[in-house]
Amino acid sequence: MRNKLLRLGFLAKLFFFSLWALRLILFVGIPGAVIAIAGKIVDYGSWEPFLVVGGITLAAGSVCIYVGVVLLMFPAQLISFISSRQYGLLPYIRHYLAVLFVCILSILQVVACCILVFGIKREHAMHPSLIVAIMLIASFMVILFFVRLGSMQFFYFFVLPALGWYLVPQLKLMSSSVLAVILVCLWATFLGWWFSWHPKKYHKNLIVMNPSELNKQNLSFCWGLYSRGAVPQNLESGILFGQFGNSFYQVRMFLITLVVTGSVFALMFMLSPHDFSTGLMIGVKIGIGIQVIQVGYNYSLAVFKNINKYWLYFSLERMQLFNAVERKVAVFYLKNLIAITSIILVISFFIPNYLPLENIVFYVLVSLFITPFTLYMAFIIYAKWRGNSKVFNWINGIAMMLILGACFLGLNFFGHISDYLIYILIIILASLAVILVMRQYAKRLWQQVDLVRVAI
Amino acid sequence: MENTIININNLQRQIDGNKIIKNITAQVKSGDVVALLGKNGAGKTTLIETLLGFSYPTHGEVTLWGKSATKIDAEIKANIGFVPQQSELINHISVGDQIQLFQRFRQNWNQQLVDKFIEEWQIPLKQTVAKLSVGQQQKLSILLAIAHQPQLLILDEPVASLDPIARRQFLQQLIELASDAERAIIFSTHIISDVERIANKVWMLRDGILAYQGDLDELKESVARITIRANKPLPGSFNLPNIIRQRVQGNQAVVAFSQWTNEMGSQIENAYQAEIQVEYLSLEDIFLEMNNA
Repeated sequence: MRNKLLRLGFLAKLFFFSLWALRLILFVGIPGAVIAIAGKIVDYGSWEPFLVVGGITLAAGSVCIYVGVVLLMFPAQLISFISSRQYGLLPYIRHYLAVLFVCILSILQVVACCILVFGIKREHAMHPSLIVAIMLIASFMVILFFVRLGSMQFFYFFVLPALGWYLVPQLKLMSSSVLAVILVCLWATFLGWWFSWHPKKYHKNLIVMNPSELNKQNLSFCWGLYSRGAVPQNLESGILFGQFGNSFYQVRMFLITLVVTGSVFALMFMLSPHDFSTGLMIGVKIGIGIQVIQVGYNYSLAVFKNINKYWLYFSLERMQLFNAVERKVAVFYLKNLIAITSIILVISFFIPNYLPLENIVFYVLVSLFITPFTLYMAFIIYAKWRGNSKVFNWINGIAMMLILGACFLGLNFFGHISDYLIYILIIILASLAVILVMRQYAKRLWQQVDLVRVAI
Repeated sequence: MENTIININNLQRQIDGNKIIKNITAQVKSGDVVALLGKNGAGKTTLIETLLGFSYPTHGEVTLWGKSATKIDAEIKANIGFVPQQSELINHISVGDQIQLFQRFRQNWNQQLVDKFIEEWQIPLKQTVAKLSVGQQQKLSILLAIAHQPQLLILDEPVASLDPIARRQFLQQLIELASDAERAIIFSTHIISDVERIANKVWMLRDGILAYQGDLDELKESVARITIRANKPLPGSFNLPNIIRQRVQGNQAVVAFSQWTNEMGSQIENAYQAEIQVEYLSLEDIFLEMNNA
């Protein structure tokens, strides 16, 4: 069996995605550890706690994320593994995989159980170990179920915690013998399904896709879903922005996202036996923030993808093209920002404690800075790297992480605005200067730009 | 009267330090149907993109109706139909909506032509563009490129994804479009039989160089493969003009010439005291000879 699996490149395929996660450790974990060690060894005075605690947090956080990612990816990987053409042709592979499931889940169960038992210093391990086993197999089944749903795959990230909150307290109340019966039934159900299941060939697994594939998938499915029936107002905006060439649909997309994510959070809130309302509302707040902040991002992405087509149809030289696109993005973006902000203000009116006005002002301000940043970045990458979508994805990925960071930090920071007015002014002025420099640089590059095709 | 639509003057195009197009000078006049031939990576798409002004020439100039390709105005652009290699349609709207958008925007829209093709090619109007097959997307791209009856039609491997029936219908339409003496068509393809059917001019690109440009008939009449048989060993290579390719083995050689004349035959016979056999080639063989295949 070992040789057969090695010949298939099994491990390579199985851990393809975990390699991506490993990079997280390389880029974040190792620097974090180095910072922590340096902070401890060298005397940095009052900065020492920041360096040590910050470094350890970074390192430990990235390792935890890595382990979590690998655990979450594992079942999804197996689905795509059995669904791919070359492996699907091989008989009996699912028996090996079933054995592998049992082994891996058992090992995880033992490890988790040890942590649990030693952690709470309990002598009888049977009861918690059965709960852990049931939770593992149940989570495993939930992940497999969602991965099979195609585009709804990502929902298991929301469902798993809800499942944990709901199920664990119920299981705690049951006796060990009942738990044992449930565990056997779950395994029997899972294995029964596994051996009778007919995998779909070329099953698309969004969770293990690389960023460019994911981008394409997003464009072809999510945009399609959100913008169903969306017709651009005219060819000009249609060619440049695609479906987003009609503001109404951008607002509709925002509302759909709001309702869907709101419902998921509400579901989690309802299933939760504890009071997670504050945490959930922070989640909702950040979710709304991301939506507002990234209003302009869709336009930058669309410009990056469509600008060469736009040139072909309209009477514009290179610099006129730059100015026209800049103007069009500004008009569409501001129209949408106003519409979306109005909706959020209405929501804020009903839940002022959870979504205060300061937060909305903060989101709009960040959005106003992020949008020109991503637009000029798109211009620069397009001109300098000939529309290299990989560079675009990386830069925007980093930008999105910064946005998230800004959301987390800024929400608290903005609460004490009067104390930090001078710093906020400095940040605003510095951001403006950066945007102006980027604009000048983009314009310079744009004078003789090659309008290449971009495959996103 | 023939008008020059495209004028290419000493065009060079360099990408990331690689010379993709090398010193091309050519013209396209109204009435020309130019087949652009070349291996994968020969520079066909780069040449087309430069002709359309998407890319700046590294050196030289391309003009369309006398205006620099990178600075053409809307009036000229409205006179161009372009079918790119990969579909560049608006993906998530229906085919009908897409056609309507273009119709509102384009002058000279020929609705009869559109209806005819929608029926013949069975393009589903209510289907979302993203859900069409690659071949159907290609059909829609072609339809949108020809519906406004442009004076210059540029097609980058238009039939690559079409089924044989659709290909035949498309070629028939292209022949009809080509019958307009005011129109010029440039199309790149790997299907040589299509070239023989509709093109009157051929551009053969080899490693960025225009190895041949001229009339298709002249090309077929002038390119010849000569088999030379002598009584004594022949030189390692022949130092003669217009040789495309030569293979010498002892007393025998096979040499392909781009501009073959009977006088050249007499010269070879006399110089090497050899017998020669002349074979005029099909376009496909010419293409293979020119690409050393």
